[in-house]
Amino acid sequence: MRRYVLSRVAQAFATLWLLSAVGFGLARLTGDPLDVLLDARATEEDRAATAQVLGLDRPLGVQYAIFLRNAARGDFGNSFKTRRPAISTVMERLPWTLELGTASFVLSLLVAVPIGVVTAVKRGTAIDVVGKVIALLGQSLPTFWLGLMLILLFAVTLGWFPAGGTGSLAHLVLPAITLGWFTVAGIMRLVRSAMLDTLGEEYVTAARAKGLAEPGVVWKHALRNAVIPPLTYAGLVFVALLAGAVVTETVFAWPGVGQLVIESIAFRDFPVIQIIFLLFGVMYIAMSLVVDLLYAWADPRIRLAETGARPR
Amino acid sequence: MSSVARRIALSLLLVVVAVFATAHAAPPAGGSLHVAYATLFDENLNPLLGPAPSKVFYDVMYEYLLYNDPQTLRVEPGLAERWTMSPDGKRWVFFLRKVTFSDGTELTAEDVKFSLELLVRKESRWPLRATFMRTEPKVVDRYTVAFDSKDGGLADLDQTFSSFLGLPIVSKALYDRVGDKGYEERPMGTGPYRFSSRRAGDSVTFEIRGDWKSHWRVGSHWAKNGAFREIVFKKVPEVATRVAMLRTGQADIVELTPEVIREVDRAKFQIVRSPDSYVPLVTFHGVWLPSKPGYDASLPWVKKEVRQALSLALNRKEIAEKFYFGSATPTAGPHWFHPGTLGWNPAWKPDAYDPARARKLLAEAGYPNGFTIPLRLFTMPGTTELPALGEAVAGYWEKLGVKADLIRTEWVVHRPDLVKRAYKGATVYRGFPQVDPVTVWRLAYHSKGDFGEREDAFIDSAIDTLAVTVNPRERETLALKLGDFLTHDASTIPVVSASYLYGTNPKKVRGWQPTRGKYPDRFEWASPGA
Repeated sequence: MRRYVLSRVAQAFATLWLLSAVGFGLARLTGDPLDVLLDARATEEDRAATAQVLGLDRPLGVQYAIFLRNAARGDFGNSFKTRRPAISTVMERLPWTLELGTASFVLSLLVAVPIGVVTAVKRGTAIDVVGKVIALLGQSLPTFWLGLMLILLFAVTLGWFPAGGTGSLAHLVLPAITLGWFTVAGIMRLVRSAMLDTLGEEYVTAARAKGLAEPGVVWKHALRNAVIPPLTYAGLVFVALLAGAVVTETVFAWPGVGQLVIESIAFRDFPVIQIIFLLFGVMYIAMSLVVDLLYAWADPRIRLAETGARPR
Repeated sequence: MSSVARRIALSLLLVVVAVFATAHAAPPAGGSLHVAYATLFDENLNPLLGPAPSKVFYDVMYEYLLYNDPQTLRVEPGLAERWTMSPDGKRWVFFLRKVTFSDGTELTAEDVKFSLELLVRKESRWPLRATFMRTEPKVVDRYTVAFDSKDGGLADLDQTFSSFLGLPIVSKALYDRVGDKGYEERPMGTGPYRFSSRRAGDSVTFEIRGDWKSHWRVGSHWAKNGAFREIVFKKVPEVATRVAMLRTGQADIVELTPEVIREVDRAKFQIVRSPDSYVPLVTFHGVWLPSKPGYDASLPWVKKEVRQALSLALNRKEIAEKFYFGSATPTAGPHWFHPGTLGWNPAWKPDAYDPARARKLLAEAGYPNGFTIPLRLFTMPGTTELPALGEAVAGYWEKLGVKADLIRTEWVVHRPDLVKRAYKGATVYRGFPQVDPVTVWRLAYHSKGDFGEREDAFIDSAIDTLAVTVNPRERETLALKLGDFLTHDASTIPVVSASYLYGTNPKKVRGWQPTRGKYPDRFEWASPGA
């Protein structure tokens, strides 16, 4: 297991390095920040002086090397827009995105796993059909439209929740449902499919033959083994929820990183764009690592195969 | 007098004093005013870092030497209670009133001088930096500041120094103490509200000053009508969400777009319009002095007949009714010429929709089969519909055989190209009323101006003369001549006169009316509803 962990960590660092280079390059594709930062009548001398202050006068390779060196020390430079440390600019928006992402993720799991299990157990019945419709709606309703409909129904008509903004737990409900809705469908389908496979296994038949109660067979024995494929998916979905919350954040006026990305690209705020890119990269990598390790923990065959050991 | 009698007398006296005080006290400051906007711009609170649009919330905290009447746009006293101009128009002197910053320190001429020097610093992003650089501020005495012209005249300065595109006055003493970053974190002005807090990407909150009842500008208004204890500016990018927030009571004033006004009206909320707020229009680039590098006489839109044809191709009535949902009217006049302001000619009438004549003009100009023209589209604060309007304009032109090559871009990208005269094509842009628009005429039309919308030796000479002409009648005559030249030349194509639109909750807010032509302001004049 230790060798497996070390090998995965090494791979993660290599990916991160590659990602930093891609993020650095992509940020520069947004345009020249001097056009935004300086008055349009700025002279060439003005531009050169500002470029020097921002370190944009050096060759790209040198700029990247400096970026890597400083990043290793935790220094990501100052935001071109706010002139405050870029890391602070991102960090003051990150908690909002984490709060929204976590809430929608938990909500998705709470809804998707039971429905997935029940539709598998009740395969071919009316309940299964309802589950399929939920999956279909989940994957076909545009987030933007769904968000606005939820606002109209639950905020304007019923007055149960605020229409947008932040400030209380109630503010979180509608954006969390909007963001998590698409994910519910994906996780539910995976759980259902995995459960259908597992319920046909011999050990499930054996458990039933031993006289175990059906809920125990389904929720304890079958679900534990069926959970591996959805686990992989759900881990990555969590980061995707964080990175892909732009539309939901816009509809609900949620001040998260998604909106910051748009603002920073418009402003060519390289330091902030780079951090956000790197941040989500780290999250993806960390989550993949955690999922792989959980996977290995849940299924001993995987870790044994990776380390070359034979099952006893 | 016995002690009992003394006590009774004293109690009676206290009751009388209390009743008298209550009767004459200003209504207490109370409640919060929640304002939902599509954007909080760059959210900067230090004028050095933030461009003009941030003034949406600047105006409750910072103040200006002069103000405009919200309807007539006539210049009115501000922090300067009076001002004079030398007969040659080369020196302006402002006499300051005695007011304090929100920390109680007194405003002096040094603060005004410092505020201007701050905005001409190299790193300043203030849009009027170049205009401010034309002047040199001098402290005459503690309450008197003079601005001397560096390059001729300052006859157009009265609007430049108004709140319209003004100079926010910062505290020199505080700035010296805390620096650029410190002032950004804890900004301060002489306005009736002081900075309270902000939540990045979400909101900025201002609270009323402790001495609000005696504030020089709004104190007496508040004494009569009451005031909000705090104003919260919230960023809500989506208009449907803003409307929902108005309907659920989460916001009291929201920025609207034309397509939602019927819904807001049906829901019994008040729609506040700022009539003749702005004119969406088409500008052309490439019609420059033939001596300019890059001038290309073969561009179709260099010919006046072509520009006239493109104007006649637009059905302004249809645009006003269907695109602006009846909240706009067809209009005439060149860019930066508006009714009631310098240079406006009431005889100008909107071009009628006449595709047949447009085709004839195009054929006469040598383009019977049309041509292709680049059309850059971008949004501006408060006019997010401009790109969609550009698509509609392209649709009308298409019927003439003129193909508009639609290019989506951003103002920050487009503007440098204009300054460098690197863009040849058209844009859909907007203009809004200015009480004395010579500064913006210089920007738009002068061959040394930023935007190069139409260059001509006559235009240069007219603008240069206007900048040094002090006599109002002579200024009006020359401005009219310039306007007529630009109108008959079809230099720019005005589309409609549109209104900035806001929804307000009448139960919560009363007495709020923004300045005509200005992106929302005057929130300090809003009073709590009955």
